[in-house]
Amino acid sequence: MSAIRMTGSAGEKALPNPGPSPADELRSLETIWASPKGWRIVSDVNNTTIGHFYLATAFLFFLLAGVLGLLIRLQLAAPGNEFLSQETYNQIFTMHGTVMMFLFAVPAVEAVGILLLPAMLGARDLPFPRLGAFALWAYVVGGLVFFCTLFFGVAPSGGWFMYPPLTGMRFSPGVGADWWLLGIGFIEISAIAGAIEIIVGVLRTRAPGMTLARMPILAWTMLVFAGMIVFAFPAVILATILLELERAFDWPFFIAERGGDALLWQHLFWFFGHPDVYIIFLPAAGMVSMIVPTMAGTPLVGYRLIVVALIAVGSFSFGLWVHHMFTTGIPARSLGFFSAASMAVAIPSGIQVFAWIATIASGRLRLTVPSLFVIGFLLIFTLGGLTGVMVAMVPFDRQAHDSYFVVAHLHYVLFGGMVFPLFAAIYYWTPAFSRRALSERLGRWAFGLIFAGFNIAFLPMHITGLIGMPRRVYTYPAGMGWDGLNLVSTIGAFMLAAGVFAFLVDFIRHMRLSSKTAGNIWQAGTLEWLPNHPYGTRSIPRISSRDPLWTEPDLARDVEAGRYYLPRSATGARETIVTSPVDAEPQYLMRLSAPGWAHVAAAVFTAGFFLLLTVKLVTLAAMSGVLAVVSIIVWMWDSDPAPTEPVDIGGGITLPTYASGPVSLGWWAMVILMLVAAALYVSYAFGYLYLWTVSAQTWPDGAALPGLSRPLGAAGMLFASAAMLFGAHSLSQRDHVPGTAFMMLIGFGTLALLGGLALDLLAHWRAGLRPQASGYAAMVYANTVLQLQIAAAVTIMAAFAIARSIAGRLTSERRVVFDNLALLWGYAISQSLLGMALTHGFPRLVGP
Amino acid sequence: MTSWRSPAGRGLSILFGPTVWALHFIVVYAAESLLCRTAGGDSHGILLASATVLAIVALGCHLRVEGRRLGEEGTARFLAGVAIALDGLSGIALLFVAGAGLALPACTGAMT
Repeated sequence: MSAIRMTGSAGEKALPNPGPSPADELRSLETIWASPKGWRIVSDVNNTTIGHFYLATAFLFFLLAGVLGLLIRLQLAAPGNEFLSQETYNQIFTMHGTVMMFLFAVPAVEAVGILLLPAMLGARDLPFPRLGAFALWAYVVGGLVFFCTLFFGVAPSGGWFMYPPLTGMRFSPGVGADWWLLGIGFIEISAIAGAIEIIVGVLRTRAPGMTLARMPILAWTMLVFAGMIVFAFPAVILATILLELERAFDWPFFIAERGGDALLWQHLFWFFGHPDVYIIFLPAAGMVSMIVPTMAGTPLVGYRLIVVALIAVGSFSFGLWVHHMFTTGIPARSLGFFSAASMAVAIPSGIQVFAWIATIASGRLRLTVPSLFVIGFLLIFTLGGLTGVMVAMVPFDRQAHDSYFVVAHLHYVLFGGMVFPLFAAIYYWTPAFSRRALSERLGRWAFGLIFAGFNIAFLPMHITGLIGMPRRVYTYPAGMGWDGLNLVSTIGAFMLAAGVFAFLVDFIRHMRLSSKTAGNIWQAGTLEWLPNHPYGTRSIPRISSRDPLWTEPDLARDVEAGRYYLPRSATGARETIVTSPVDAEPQYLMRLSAPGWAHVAAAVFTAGFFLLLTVKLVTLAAMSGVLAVVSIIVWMWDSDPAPTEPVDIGGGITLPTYASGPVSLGWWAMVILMLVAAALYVSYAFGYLYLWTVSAQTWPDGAALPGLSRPLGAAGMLFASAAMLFGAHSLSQRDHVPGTAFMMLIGFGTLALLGGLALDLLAHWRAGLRPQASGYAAMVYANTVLQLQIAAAVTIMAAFAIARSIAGRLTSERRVVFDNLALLWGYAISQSLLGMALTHGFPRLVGP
Repeated sequence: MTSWRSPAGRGLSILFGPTVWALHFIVVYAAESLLCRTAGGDSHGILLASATVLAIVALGCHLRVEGRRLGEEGTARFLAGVAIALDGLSGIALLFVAGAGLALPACTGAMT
């Protein structure tokens, strides 16, 4: 692959497209990338539009959940207050936590990624624009309906962590818990869709030359963030599936008297919940790592160490979940493991803080509004981190657990660690999208009120908690010593709200989205400050440093003049350069989806399926589910365009317009999806083995287990399915794929997979096992549910592949649809065999 | 076309340290639940010590491999540095966990 040559003594570069641009080049780019006008903007897929909608929706939920927070503070302002009833208060505090965590924090950082990453990486857009748009609309519809349950008094009321048995059918018979389980479970799926797009985007659509060593820190943090979502979210998705199965069909996963265990929920929830804190914090830390060097006017100190710290924090955070469960009776040595891991994670967290301080010290910090919010973040987050180390100590945690000390700690970590950086980011990046920057004067007011209000509200809570006030109580008696502290907290909360109001006034007065932006008013060094358009930058630069705008003063001019790569649409479609994951060398030109309605319909119907299921409108839910699948098929039909002749992008580089196998982005996305499925299944296997450790007495002896003939027959069918998969794969590589044989192998292979699973199910049923009988039985049938879920996806994809084969859209060259089917199909067979080994083998291994 | 395989392999190699840490953590935590039901606390102590030695040896071997790559240029050198630092941090975190484990008795309730 040719690279740019450096010639001349003054480092004059030979640019890829040095000549004057043809007159129609720019116009065709603008036409191809034009966003739909008026209400049709809903069908847009461009990352800038989607990012703005995403961020606006997340901020709306921040405001709504903030209002709920104010209601909580009003209720607690005085002892014996009757402003809110107990049930209303329970719903409000549950929704405050749930909305802040699931509908604001995670979507907000994902939104920042979708909005900024392409510009920062030098891509024209993220690789799967319709997937991003699907995730957005599913989140908007699902989130708004979920929030509206409050107005009908049917919102969940069991706390944002939804512990059973309180949230089981016995103690929460209404639909509130179902809203949480189906509504939030579904929004997590949307978060996973966004994460897949971010991982593939960061690793494969960077500008040529932007090696991993030159990637902006925010991209590193978004990569770690999305990777953590892939491994953490499946645990809580599994937990929500199990609890909903218990509530809807009486499968007793969490009912101790029937061989289940309520603590299983806590394990699964916190295996997600603790990493989730870092999922929220790391991208925010990435924003800080972008802002600090600009404001200090010097490169980030310890870039490599910060990358190390990000990966270490992301990894170690998965070993902390039990520190939310120190008082549940877990053996002492195990508590020691989690306590030690909780302290170990402080080391990489500290590395980041010291790197920021060193950067500030090595430069000259301009005290702008973003800088103020960063300083606020450093102070508040560090305090939250210190109290975090305190509650990581088991003896201290025993005293502070479930008290207002924990409420103070978590707000210092989350508000300090995420909301302050987000405000800094909004003030910092607004000039990249708006005609005007936000106001320094109003910004200082906003910062002052938010900083003071936050500390006045939450600092006293440490003491309120230490002198005994429990959390999650709707009122308290006078004379406990809590009255004055609570009143101060309430005053602080309203001061904080006044700060947010000042920000809103500033935002409404000054934010004006425009193609003519205020520009690089901070003199920043990274690519998002190049002149940006709906198609990204006019041409795609070659990167040779971490802060290219600082090291190459002419870069903006040359990029805007179209002198770098791909200054035109080479294929007449939206497209972006796909580069190698480590060295970012161009590999192929990917054509991207244009605006459309199918993905919007898919999002609405998917939301409809889950939401209608919540209110037990099963027929309508099923219809909505079918329509969602149909919409997805319509959306996907045009998503794998035929290869064209290789195209010239400038600088002597000619790229193919199609790739399959491990080079293609579809393959990467499918592999990540398989990791999600594997994480879900590992969580299930943990749950299965966990129930054995706590209630082995309810497990069957050998005589009660199914005989081996049916399971062996089922395994045989799965192996037959695997053989047909290999056969189809072999045929697909021939120059002329024999259509009938190929399609029959796919069809019968899928049937063999379904048949194997059905035979396995029959084996358990005929042995007299019923899912309502015990936690063990419920777990056995949960295995079937998980296997069928993957098999259903394989079946739909197989039908899709057969249809494309008939239509002549699946050939030995144009084969991404089959490659992806083969990956998931192979995975489904492997997981099914593993499930059978677990459910038939393990009880025999340990049985009496 | 640039070959992606070997550079991607290098990229994944940086996760070696955290992966060893995670495996060690899962093994010693899960083993306490399982061994306490079957073989008793002493066997968990032996397992904890063995798993820790094995994990440290594995990290040491990987550190040596990555140490040699420090002599390379550009991204390879950067990734080697990241991998070495992660091996080191993972080793420290691993010793934290093992130390806490060895200081506390196995198979006893938290309240005793």
